[in-house]
Amino acid sequence: MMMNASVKKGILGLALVIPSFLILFFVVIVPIVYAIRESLIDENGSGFGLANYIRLFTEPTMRKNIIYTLNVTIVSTLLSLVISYSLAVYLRFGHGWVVKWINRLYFIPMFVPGVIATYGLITMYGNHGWLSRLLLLIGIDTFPKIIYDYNGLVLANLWFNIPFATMLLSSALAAVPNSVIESARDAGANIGQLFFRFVLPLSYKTMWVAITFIFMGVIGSFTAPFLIGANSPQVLGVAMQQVFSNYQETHTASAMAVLMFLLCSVMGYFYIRTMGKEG
Amino acid sequence: MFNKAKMSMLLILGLCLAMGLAGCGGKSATEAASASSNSSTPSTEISLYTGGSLNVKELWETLIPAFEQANPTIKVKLVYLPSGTGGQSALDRLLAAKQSGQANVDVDLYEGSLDDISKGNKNGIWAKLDTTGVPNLNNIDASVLKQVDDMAVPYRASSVVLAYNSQNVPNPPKTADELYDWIRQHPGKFAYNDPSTGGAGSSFVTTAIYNFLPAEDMNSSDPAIAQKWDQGFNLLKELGPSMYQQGVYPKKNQGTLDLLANGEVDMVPAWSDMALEQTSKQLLPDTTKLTQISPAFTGGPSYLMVPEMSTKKEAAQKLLDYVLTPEAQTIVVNKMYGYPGIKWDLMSKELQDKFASVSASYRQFNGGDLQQEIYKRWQTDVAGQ
Amino acid sequence: MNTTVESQLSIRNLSKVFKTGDGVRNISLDIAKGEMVTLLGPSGCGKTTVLRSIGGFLEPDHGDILIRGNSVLNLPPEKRPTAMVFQSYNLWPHMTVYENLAFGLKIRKYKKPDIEREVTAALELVQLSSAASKNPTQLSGGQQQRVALARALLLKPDVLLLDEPFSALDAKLRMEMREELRDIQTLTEMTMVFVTHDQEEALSISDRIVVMHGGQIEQLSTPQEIYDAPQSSFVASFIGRINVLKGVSDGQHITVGELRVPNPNVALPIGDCIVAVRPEDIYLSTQAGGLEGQIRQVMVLGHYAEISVNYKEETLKVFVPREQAATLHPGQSISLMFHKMNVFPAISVSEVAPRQEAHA
Repeated sequence: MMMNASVKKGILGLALVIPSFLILFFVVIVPIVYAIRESLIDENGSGFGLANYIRLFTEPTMRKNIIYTLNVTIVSTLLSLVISYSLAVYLRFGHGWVVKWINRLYFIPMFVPGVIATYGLITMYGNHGWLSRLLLLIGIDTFPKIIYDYNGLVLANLWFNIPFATMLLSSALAAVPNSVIESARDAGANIGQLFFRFVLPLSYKTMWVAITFIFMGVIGSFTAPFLIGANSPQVLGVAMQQVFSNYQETHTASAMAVLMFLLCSVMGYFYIRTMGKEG
Repeated sequence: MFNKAKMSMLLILGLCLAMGLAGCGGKSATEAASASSNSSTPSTEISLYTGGSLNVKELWETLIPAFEQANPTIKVKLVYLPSGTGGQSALDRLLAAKQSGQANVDVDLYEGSLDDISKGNKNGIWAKLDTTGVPNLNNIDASVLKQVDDMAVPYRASSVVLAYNSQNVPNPPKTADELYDWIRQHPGKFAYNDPSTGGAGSSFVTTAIYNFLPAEDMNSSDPAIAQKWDQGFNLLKELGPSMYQQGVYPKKNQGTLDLLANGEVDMVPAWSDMALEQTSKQLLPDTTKLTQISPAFTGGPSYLMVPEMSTKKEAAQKLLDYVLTPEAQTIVVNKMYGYPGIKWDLMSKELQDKFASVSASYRQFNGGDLQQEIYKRWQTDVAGQ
Repeated sequence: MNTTVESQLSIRNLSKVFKTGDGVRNISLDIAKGEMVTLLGPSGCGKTTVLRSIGGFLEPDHGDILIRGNSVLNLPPEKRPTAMVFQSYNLWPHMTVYENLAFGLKIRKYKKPDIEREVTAALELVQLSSAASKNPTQLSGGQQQRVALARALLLKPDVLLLDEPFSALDAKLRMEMREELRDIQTLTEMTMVFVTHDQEEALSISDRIVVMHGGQIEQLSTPQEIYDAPQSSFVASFIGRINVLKGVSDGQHITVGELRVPNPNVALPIGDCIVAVRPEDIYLSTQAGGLEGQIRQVMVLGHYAEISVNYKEETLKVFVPREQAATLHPGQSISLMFHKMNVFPAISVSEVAPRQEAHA
């Protein structure tokens, strides 16, 4: 039997694609479908329905958890973005030894495992942590509650997300030619106009990559919120673990997982739409 | 082009095969080696599944060599699953094997809680034990064995006690009511952990609720009892603002012990074994003392079970019998800072004195699914107040 | 030094030295209103340093820069009455051509109809009226530079700075752009400072040329003077093409090989000297009396021919009319005589600028 070259090539192409497709199928698609199916089963196992989802949005504790998670996620994402952007701009356009040292050091937090970093934050900012002891030395004996609170959680999220976002944005800013910035200044743009009319539009796509990564990282986080978050409300990651392992309500936990997936999908939609745009 | 691609595919395939073969070769070689070393004495290898904190692993690493020396024909394979990494899945495997009608299973001994016993009992996966197979069962309080239908051996126990800084608390509370008063009088100086994350906090919450109820209710899983919890939860809510940072409940048993260690609080409920071990290792200050209140906090034994489907029950029973000897129990008590599984009066006088402060009795909570209900309601009513 | 009040741009004792040692030292320069001045020199000569200092992108170590009599040294680029056209990546890729042009006016709070009128006029000036709504990426390199020029012109700067704006374009386009720029300059009477390393470009568009070398001004004159009367061997060799020979001066006369000619340079010290002769200033003759050489190659380049003549170890270039070239052939013995020449004190050869081949 004769096969012409293009058919052979086609088969080879298919053969090369199949492994990655299979990985995608079994690692991503199957678990999602399974989770959706699980989430639709009533907790007492009696049949299919939206009961679990309805409970997520009607039970006051759960509703508070969802709002709290969104609050923490959005605030952390925006703060991380603002700080990373400022840092990246400073590193890109600043001069001197401070810039040089920040450039060498800023990504170190990425190499510190999450649990260790979290305990570090507790030792630093805890009620009797180093910071409060230092403040006590200079006579300040009121220390704000950071650990076991909303603030501590946001602080941890900043610690985990700023280095990576700064790295992303720095590489985007490196691609902005000096002459663009100089010609803009030459045309009379002040610092604010420079940022909002030039730097931001030219690194817009990377900004969305950063937002997406931070958002997804924060909304699905567990270790830091588990160790330094408040007892109530809890972020979805911690609440999900509690529902799954302690209450053993696997179907409700699945519904929470699907909800998280949907929230991330919204981000994913904006991300893909931005990436798809020309120019 | 195509030929080149095909060639490289073949090459990769070849490489994979070679590596696979090498892997197999290596494995069979080691198996052969281990087989030959044992060939002089025909031996049985039994698998012991255990989990929990690291000290459980250390305990077994001391007990097993001692047992193997006495019984050279039996080898014990220790399968330790640290808490949170799949202790559940070992039990799930047993359940699944039973349901799918498998004839045997490679779990010969399983260490678990009361909860695991009742879960397995429903499906009939645990074997009944008697004094013919395990003569040392006689060392155990008969009522304890009756509670588990002779399906399990309580080989060690621990309970929740009050751990306090004796420097700041010269006169620790002796009763539950005294404890609650102490908390009210010393705001911010007491902490218990989020009950769903560890037994110490769970015990504090559970006893606070059931102290208002008849004693027998602690052993009932009747959902109707939940109606009678209000008084207990109101107490917990009322105590909330007097807790550490006006209501912060750290995660895990260790979370509160850390607070006690760095002096942020003066008193916490803690597992006796954890607190004793950490005091002896200087992780908690010397001033840390333990006491049991009345009515007592809850506690409980850790059990060893033999699965019905195990094919090496005889060897497994031998290990059980060894664990229940006073010698093995001395190791257990010293290593785990816990209670012996056998009667206290079989232990040395010296040891009895050493544990006098915590060896007062404890209560057991056996409410089944109600435990989860308590956690849920605590999360909404107390944490979310 | 001429520092009249009328100077549009005045640079006084400007110094800026980089860590590498490059930069400029003690430069002074006055440019009148409506003048087109070119800073010319090889790379590293400091011409761009001067330009960027004027624009505010570099902070000088010493000296002052005045525009219409006022020091601009303390002003950031956005506050200076200058505008700059860069070598490349001039246009803002995220804005249309129209937005690129309108941006500076918007910042200056122009009214919308005014902006529209000005931008349209500027686009007409650079003959790109149809490109208003296009993205910069859709334009050719030449069009992009024209838009950049229009954008700078729109800002009506006191001084327009151009940093090798045409160097990325191909030869033909570069010539067109040169002419266009000169037209616009004449039309708008705008003061311009143009930086280039291309001597042909400098000669063709400038009112005056500043030849720079090693961070200093070698010569500041009109193109004609620079060409005809270079004041140093560097200028002579950098501008146009030139043959360099060794000579000896006795004060009155210069001796080059067999030739003995009157010394045109009274300041020349007695002894060894350098004789520089442009290819068009050499006269080839079959009659003896000049330097005796041998033709190596005859290259007809349109209306004229370039003749390579071997003279001792040197190869001299001579430009002759096409008609004469027809009578010459390789291998022929020939006598060379000079119409005109420049003589300079002997210096080490390394200080003579490397031959700059025309880019055409």
